[in-house]
Amino acid sequence: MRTRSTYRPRHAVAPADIGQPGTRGRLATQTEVRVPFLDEDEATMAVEAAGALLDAAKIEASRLGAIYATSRTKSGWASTMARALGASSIRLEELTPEVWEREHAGGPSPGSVLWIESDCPRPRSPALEDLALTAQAVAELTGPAAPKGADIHPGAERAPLPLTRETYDRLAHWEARAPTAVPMGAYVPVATWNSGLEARYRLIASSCPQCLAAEYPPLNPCPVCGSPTRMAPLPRRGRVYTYTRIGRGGAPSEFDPLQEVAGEYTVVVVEFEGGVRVPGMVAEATASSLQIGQAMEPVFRRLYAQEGAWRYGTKFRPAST
Amino acid sequence: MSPFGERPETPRQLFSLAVTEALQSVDKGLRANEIQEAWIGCLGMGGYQLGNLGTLAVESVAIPEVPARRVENACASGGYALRDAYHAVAAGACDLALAGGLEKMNDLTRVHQRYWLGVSGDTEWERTAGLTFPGVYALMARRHMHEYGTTQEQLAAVAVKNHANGALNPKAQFQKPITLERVLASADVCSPLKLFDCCSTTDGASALVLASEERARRLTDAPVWILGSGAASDRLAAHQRPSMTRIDATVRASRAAFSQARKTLKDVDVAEVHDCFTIAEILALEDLGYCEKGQGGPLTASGQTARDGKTPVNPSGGLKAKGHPLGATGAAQAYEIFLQLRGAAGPRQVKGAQVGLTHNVGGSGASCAVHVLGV
Repeated sequence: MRTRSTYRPRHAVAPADIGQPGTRGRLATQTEVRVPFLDEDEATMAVEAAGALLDAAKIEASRLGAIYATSRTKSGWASTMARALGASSIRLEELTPEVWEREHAGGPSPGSVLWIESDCPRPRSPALEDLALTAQAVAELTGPAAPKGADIHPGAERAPLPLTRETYDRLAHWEARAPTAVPMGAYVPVATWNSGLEARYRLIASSCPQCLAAEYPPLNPCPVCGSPTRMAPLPRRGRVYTYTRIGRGGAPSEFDPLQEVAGEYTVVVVEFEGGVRVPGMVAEATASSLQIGQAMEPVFRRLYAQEGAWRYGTKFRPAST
Repeated sequence: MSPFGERPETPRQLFSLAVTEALQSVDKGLRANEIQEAWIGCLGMGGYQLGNLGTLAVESVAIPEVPARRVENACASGGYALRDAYHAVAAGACDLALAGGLEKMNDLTRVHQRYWLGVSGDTEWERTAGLTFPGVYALMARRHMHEYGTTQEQLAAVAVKNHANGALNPKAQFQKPITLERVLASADVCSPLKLFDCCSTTDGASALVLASEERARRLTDAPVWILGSGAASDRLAAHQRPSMTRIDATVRASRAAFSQARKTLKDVDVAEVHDCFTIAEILALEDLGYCEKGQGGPLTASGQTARDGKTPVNPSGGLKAKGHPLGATGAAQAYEIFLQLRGAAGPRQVKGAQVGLTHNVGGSGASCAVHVLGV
């Protein structure tokens, strides 16, 4: 067994430097520190940290003045995170020392600002003694609307997975398996996939003010009565309607790499108030612990890789009480 | 129909076997070149011949100039091929038609097969949630167990019954009976569905000759009539339907077929229903009206749907034991009913069968075709 050391990001601005007392506005922080699950990466951890922070501060991501993001990974994770938060149109910049200086030099306030650092290191070789594997996402909010630091509870630290050779190997194996070929059968092409991201990332559903029918994925006009529909995210909590554990041979081929590394996975259909049902993979739980009627909450996770890129979407985990 | 199973024949050879038998079954004789038009159900055989499959099929029986087309509605392709051919003959567009189906999948790799079997659900939203064909039916089975108390044993009883019937079918993929214990001991594919709750990957072809009334009376003294045809669609994704324990497409299609035939389920002596998974037969029993919703499990366990029961279901062995070559199944169901109504089903014969039913479903219930046949 190795000793675990706290991960130190090797970029210009350390978390402790973000939002020092004396900078404008007030502070709020949330942190997640743990060894990632197979379906997590810098994008998903950032979404979870920033999402929880914005919820607690009761600030809509679409009302932010700016987002500053930093990570060792240059993978476009920050724009994925912004889209998943509903902040695609908000100014997004990489947090460099220059940007940090500029923001702290005085001048007009950009309003509420989200500062996010997210790192999810993956083992690249079997020699792992010097590489600490703690993943970390730090989200902070500054600006006139940000509540006092004392008003916000820090995000709960998750118990890390045991750090063993097997854990490292599984992570490496999963990373290495991302397929680049276009499959010869049913698949969702890139352009079609991209057109569904709002619905997929944020569970945007449509509801009809006329006949009250609800649809997910959203449809406009209403398929029942033809009236214009309204778009809104589904509630953050639903109930298990049904589920199944998918064994080897029962999965679409895109999920073969996942099954080779992690074995069986569970798929759940979650029913929301209004009757809309959404299918999704289960995160952080297995079929044996699920019951029909149990409360579940959506989480933003990696789904599978295709044509050289990871695809993200909504999975469900048992709701925290 | 051709033999069903892991077959060495090529697609052309399989189809030729089926058509040859169909022509030989015409009492006063019929040659292939008397066929005027053809409808062939086929999902696509893994992409082997997606375009112009109809021509490949008629070419295989040396009638390449006959107008033909592929009909596709996933596993209901064959049922819809039958329906479309029936409509053409009934409308007078032709008086001798060929309706059938074809599928060959065992020459593909397992990965390729699973891709191909996964094309019949909602690709964008069911597949990307990690679901393929058995996964969706498994969700329906679990919900059915929750809503109605259906048990694992009742699911397994469907497989036991159908394998017992398949043992008497020389063309079936599986010709050995199996025990309840064997089914229950098999591994989970997608819980609660186990290996023996799921139909297998099958190659095979089926063919039927349809004739106008006037032509039929000149070809045989023992015609089997299509009394009614019904079909319906429903939401592509199972979770978007009002209920995940009822296939509304079955309810609508069967109502339409019975209405046209001026018959009810009580008039039906024998039925071939769509048991791609054991839960699918239980749903079919309920949705066709054999029992109240939720009682399909107890009905099966009671033995009423056995070969010698009051209302035999799937005497051929069903999709479970006979096999399920996706595009060929719908017409193969009608083939079995044809034999039954002519008294030619041998050891599988349901005594005195006069009215039969075929029930063919596409995907998890997105499409359904039901036919009522009689003598």
